[in-house]
Amino acid sequence: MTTRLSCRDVERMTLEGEDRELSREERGFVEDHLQGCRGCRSFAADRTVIREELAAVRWPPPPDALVHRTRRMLLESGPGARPAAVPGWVMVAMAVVTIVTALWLAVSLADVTPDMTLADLSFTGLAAVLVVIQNALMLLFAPVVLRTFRARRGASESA
Amino acid sequence: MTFFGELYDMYTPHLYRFSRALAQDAGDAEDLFQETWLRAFKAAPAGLEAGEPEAKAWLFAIAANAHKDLLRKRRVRRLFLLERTKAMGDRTADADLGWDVPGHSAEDGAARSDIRLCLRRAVSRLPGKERRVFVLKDIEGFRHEEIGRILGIPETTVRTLLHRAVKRLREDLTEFRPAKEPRPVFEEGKS
Repeated sequence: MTTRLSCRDVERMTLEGEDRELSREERGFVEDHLQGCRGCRSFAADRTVIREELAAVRWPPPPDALVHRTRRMLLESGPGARPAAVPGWVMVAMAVVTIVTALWLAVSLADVTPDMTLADLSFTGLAAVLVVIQNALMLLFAPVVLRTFRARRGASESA
Repeated sequence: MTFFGELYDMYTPHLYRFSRALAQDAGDAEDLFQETWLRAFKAAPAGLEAGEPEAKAWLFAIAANAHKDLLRKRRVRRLFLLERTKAMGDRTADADLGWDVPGHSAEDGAARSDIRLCLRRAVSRLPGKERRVFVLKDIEGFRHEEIGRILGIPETTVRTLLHRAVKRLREDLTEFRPAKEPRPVFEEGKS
């Protein structure tokens, strides 16, 4: 190791010193560098502030409703309580419906151009646009609806 | 569920704190917490004892992966909602800190509260990998080697990510830096 360390090396060694005790030689290099480098002194001081602030944080305990809800969910998802696997024919039917819908959308929207308004669309074209919007809304808001549902369920369980 | 019940009782506070530190808001933290336990329940290896350090590392690895998936899903949703989601995320982080420090005077408390708010924002803005490494190190207290094992990355990468994370956090904390010369960290006789 050379006696001249870059600021990057010193910063990394400062972090390394939190994980293991630096050797006498390493500490010597770091201290020498810190004496002449305001930037690295500032890095070390900021690092101390960050650690002190984080160490002083009092984290909230997990809400009882969440703990009970999760425990119940785990019990329900136990080996004897798992829902039966989806039958193969249902998967095939869903795949067929998806493919048919995609084809129908492709055909229905083939004549639609960006300059058209809703009034210019045929009935089939309008229906296709509505299906696209409905699917997009479902994709975006399903997690929000599920979360609200879970929260209400948890609240009613803890009451 | 005997072994798992023991595991659940033992690590619920740890996992919840980890989830709160990683997630943008309390709702995401609860989702992450539940998802982690569900995945753990399905994948619990035989012979693992609840009290072993490996059990904790194993659980945190599951939580880190669940967080990665959560961010991936969020990216897809952000494609549709664009900046609106980002702005909402910042507001949520401000309103839902969950970071509390007891035992300070009102004046001192206000200043510290500002730093913590800024720190909280800055942590939530860190890229996913850096955030996971930073939280595992600074909040959960894992060693670099353990973090590497939990995240499945080399120890040198852990150091690099932690260094980057601290540099980013410093940029966000610039306004709180005192004008005077900072006090030395490596004092005589201090390891």
